[in-house]
Amino acid sequence: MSTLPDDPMNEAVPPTPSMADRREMLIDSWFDGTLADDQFAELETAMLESSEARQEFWDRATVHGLLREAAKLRFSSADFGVTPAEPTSPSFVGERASLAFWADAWRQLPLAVRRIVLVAGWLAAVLIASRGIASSYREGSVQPANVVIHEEGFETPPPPAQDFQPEHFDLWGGDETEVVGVTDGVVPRGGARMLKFVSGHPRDKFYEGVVAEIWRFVDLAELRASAGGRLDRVELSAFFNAAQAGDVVKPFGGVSLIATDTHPRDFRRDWRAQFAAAAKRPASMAASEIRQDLDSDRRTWQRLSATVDVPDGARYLVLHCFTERWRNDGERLVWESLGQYVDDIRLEVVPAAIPRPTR
Amino acid sequence: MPAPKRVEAASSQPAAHTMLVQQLFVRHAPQLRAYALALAGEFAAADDVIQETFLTITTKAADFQPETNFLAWSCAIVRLKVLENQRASRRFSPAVVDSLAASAAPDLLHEERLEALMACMDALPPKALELVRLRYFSEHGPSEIARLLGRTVAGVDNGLLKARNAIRDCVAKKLAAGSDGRMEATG
Repeated sequence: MSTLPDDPMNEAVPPTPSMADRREMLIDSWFDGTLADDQFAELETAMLESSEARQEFWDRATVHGLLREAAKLRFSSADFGVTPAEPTSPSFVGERASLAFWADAWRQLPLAVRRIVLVAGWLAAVLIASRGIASSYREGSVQPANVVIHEEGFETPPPPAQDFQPEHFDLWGGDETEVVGVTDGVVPRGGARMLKFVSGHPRDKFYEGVVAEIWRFVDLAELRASAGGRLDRVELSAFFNAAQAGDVVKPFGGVSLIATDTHPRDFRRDWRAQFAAAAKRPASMAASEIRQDLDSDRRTWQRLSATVDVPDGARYLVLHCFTERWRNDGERLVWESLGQYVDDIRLEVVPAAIPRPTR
Repeated sequence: MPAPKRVEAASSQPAAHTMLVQQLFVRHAPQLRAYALALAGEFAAADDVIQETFLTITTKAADFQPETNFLAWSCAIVRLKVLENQRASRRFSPAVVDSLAASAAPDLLHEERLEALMACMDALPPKALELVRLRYFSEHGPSEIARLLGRTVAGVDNGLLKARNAIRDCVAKKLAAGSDGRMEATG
């Protein structure tokens, strides 16, 4: 790496490139979308006629393709910035150094861990700056930024499974939904896609109940192990939008977050009982649910969030997003679940505040 | 609180095998996206291919034998999806795609390579790292990067070329060193 100058853009291009350099340039230009027609024809010919050229292609393609993956991992990792409770001063240098340490710790994690975090929905909670730091929230403390441990914008597969009940680790599942682009005048909040709730049941399956919902399980054991055994507070948030609202249609959106010791297979019978159980068994369960009207403006996304303090006895998190609506058909109110959207779901660890060091 | 529902019979659940295949897809998604990008050439086209690949592996999950190589199986599907998506003018012909797919070395997408590449990327000088961020994370083209940085397109092209070369050489050294280490350990 020492051969690369500080500013590579200042280096002049070699005036007479070799054949290999020429192909290298063509391949890179193809990946950058800057290849002229005659250059594209030259590249295709080389790919068909020369095994050496094909080997060079894969050398470049591998760098190009994996760089994109590496950049996603490297630059989409948690924001380690702090939000000072007061203007930055020299006394905060220590806190920033602590955060820098955790940022470095993140970078030192094995790739496998980081990849699992971002691709399969996990983020190593070693980032949680609260580990080893007093958790008391004192005046003058700084609040580290939340650490995102799962993000779902429905930009890449898999889409949620249509299988009714909370059941899966690392996969969303639930009622009939569809990943869509701009629909009914609703533009995805981020990226090019969002999730449309289609019905209150899996496709081709019918039963009573009108709430359309999706779920996902998170294994706290893995999260705690990465965090050194400590995990305090987590927040689930999601953005909702409704294509129709007004006097005759009243849509709702909501999120639930449950920390529990109940295995997914035992959730199949009675989801609602979890809320009552959480009140009775605070050592191993906690639950929070937010349900809110959705406005009639298709241009706005409404953020709903639920937060729980994770009990030491809890073994799993259940993430839950749901929508429903009622419609006045002139004679009665009809409950249904049509035309609501969700995008940019996030599960975040809320780190404990970092107290100002004593002088 | 959501309304209660009647519990459906177990038959409504997707086959466990399909779930396994989908989870394998998630696990290997970085390698598959890299492979799709190599053959499709454009970020958006590669993403479309991956979307379609996922649908195909879901419907054809029963064809996958767990004891076989998932990455090889799914890369073959990616290749077919690339061939099906030849609508844009600047795409390789089917003959070129087939020729390239046949010449891909089996270890190109191994996890060790991605791990080494991440380490090499982190070691880039700041300006080169910023170029990589703009190109591969923000997904700006060279002309847009040039505009953002107030540089020439040729300068950006040259900077990206050098950054990629540096990373390629660095990865090769790291993989070679790792291979030597394993040989010594086992020898």
